[in-house]
Amino acid sequence: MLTFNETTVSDAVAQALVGELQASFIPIAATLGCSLAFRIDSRDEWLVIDPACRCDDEYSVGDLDCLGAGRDLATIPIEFEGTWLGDIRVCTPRAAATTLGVLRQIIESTLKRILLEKQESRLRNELSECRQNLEALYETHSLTPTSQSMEAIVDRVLSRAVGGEHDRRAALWVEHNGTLEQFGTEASGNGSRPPFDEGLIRTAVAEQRGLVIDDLQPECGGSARVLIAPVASFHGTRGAVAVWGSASGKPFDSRFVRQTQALATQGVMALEGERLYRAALENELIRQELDIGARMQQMLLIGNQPNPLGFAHVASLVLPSQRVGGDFVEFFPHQDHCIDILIGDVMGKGLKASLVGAAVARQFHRTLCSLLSARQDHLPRPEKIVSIVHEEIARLLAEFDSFVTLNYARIDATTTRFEFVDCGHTPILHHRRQTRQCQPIRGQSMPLGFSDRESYEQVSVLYDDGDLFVFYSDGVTEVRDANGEFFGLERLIALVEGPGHDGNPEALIQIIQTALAHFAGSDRFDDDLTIVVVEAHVAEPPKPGTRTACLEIKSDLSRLEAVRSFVRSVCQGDDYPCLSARRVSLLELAVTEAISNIMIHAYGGRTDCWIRVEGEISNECVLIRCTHTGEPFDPSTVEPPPFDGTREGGYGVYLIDQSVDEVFYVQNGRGIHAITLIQKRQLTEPGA
Amino acid sequence: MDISFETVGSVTIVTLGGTYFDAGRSKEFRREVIERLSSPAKILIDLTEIQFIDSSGCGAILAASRRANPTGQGPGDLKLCGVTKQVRMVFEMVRLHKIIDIYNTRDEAIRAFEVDSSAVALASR
Repeated sequence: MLTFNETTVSDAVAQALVGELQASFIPIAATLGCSLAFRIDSRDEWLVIDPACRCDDEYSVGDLDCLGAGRDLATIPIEFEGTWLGDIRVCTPRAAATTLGVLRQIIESTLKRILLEKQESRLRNELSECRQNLEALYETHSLTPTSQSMEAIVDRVLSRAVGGEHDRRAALWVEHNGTLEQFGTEASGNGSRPPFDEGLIRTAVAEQRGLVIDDLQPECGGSARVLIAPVASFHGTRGAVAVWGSASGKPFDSRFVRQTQALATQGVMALEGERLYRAALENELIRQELDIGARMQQMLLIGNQPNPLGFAHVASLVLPSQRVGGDFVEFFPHQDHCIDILIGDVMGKGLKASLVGAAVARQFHRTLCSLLSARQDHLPRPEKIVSIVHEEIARLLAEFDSFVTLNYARIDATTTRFEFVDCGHTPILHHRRQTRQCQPIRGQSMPLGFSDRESYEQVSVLYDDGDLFVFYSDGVTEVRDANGEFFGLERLIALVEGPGHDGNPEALIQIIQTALAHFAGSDRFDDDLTIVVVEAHVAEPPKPGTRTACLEIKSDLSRLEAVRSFVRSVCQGDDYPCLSARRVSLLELAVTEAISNIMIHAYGGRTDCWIRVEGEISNECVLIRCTHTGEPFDPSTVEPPPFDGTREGGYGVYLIDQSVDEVFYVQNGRGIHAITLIQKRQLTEPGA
Repeated sequence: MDISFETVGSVTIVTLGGTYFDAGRSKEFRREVIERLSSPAKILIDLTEIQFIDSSGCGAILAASRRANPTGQGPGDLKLCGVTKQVRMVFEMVRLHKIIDIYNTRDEAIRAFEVDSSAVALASR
């Protein structure tokens, strides 16, 4: 056996060398008259080459001596690029030193040529394999779950791992929820069952250590060669590609191992990518459903905040949690001095609670409409409204195995009474403006749905001008901090009694929201947050002989004619017109200009805002008050128009000034603004 | 807003219907009338049906006047007719009656356009 450096020269090289030397030396030997002997392995052949001559067990010097009796026995070392590769012993006639020198040169040049050819061939093969590996990685890398099915991606990865070898098979395993899942087997030959136990894969994946077994002896079938290449992705997904084949097949060299590892990474990342993609898709669907649910909740359960009221300033905040909840809020303004407020919470969360909340809120609407249509001149008492609603809704609540806590409250600005029915809801906070003290007020009634025989009783408290009433859901007081502690009622009371809001409902809500977010360490809360703050005022008693009317319109310019119609009806009076036709016309003009300005400038052209138009007739004047919550307006900033035709606009404020006797622009500093127009009744006018 | 167009000779008559001409309708007037008019042009706006006008309506008429007579020197012009009591009151408040010629009837206004044309023809000889 040629004992060349095993990493650079194989048996094949030795065979090739012997072949070359034989072809070269037979004619040389004849020419030189020398009988050369070469020996390969232990076979007896003429022309012996035995570079393993140092191994006496395999080579007998005596044998060679016999062959070369009477001849020199010369040893020719074989070297390549300074590295000793082996020796060749040659028998040659005595004193044929020249022959030996020629022979040595021929051997060296032949050997060099053979080795160079082999080296070139090997490099070419390596280059080819590298290119194939790169192609495999590029191909598998470009496969994405969005463009290919997962099966197709795994098939391509495994196909590349097999690399077209007929007796090879490959499979991909990926860990999911602690267990290994096999994704396809690529088999060039027959059968796809791996010759090893899955425990081998599990161990390799767990330890993240690759495994090459050249001669595995499975229980059935022939010996096998196995490669297991485990990988772990950046996101922690682990898996492995296993390649196996006959033990007599092509061995797994280090390059193949690296390529398989790269393919395993591609396979695992593709599967992980697909899982992330599906998870993202599912999350998006859930998010959309929650979004729709939250909007439905807003639409069905959260009543529109009332328009600017002369006797009460209402502000509300509804922050739905990530889940659809059962909080609901409704406002029922009555006449010009009274408003009912309903705030409730259905037991539990989710769609059921949401639907029950919608049903209860709708039942309050129906009951109130029914009672008001029966007696338009009389407002039903809150306790009567709640009792009727409970009668109607109790069966539904029983069917749904649910109950509802709520507060139904009424603010009456003429009697300065705050009346409410408390059905097990959170206490209402009454903040007295004069003392700056805050007191929780509670009722005694049970939640709706607790008992069929429950009787609902209202509680009544008197209030002063500017007092605040704070309604809230339990989501407010049950906000938790990092230690799990509740925000609680005491902290809420401290905020209401504290500085910073000056009795302004919007400011107080902002303070509470900020404090809750700070307390929870997040502005997203686990439960729905509902807060309603009402600043209640005392309605001025109407002067004797005074008559009032009210109109509420959206900030749409198409409603201007309705406003003028309202002004005309106010001026018409009960029995006779209050103003001359010309002065009514001027008042119409002034009101039109004022409302147009509110719509265009204060509300910036938005058509979904509200404007309240109040009319009041007394013996002295006709007063029209236009209230809005848009941007405030300062008439002193408006320059007088030039009247020379050079400007097409800017006449509104001038026309208002010219049309009415008095005009006031009032800002209360809390976001509510009013333009008041007064047309005094002249002595010559009827009824004055 | 009902808006109708009619041509008498070289004059385009624009009749506004719908009893009022306020901020809610001035936008439509600008779109349907001013943007369609050639410039310069002889325009007569008939306001017989308009019972109420506000500053926005006045501004729209001023804009139409500029369109008809952009230089202020002719040959186009805008005249008004059929002005009701409330409308005249507002025109007087914003001095529009001093900028735009107002006639009681269409015929008077059209005759005034003809006289204007004759005067221009004489002046150009």
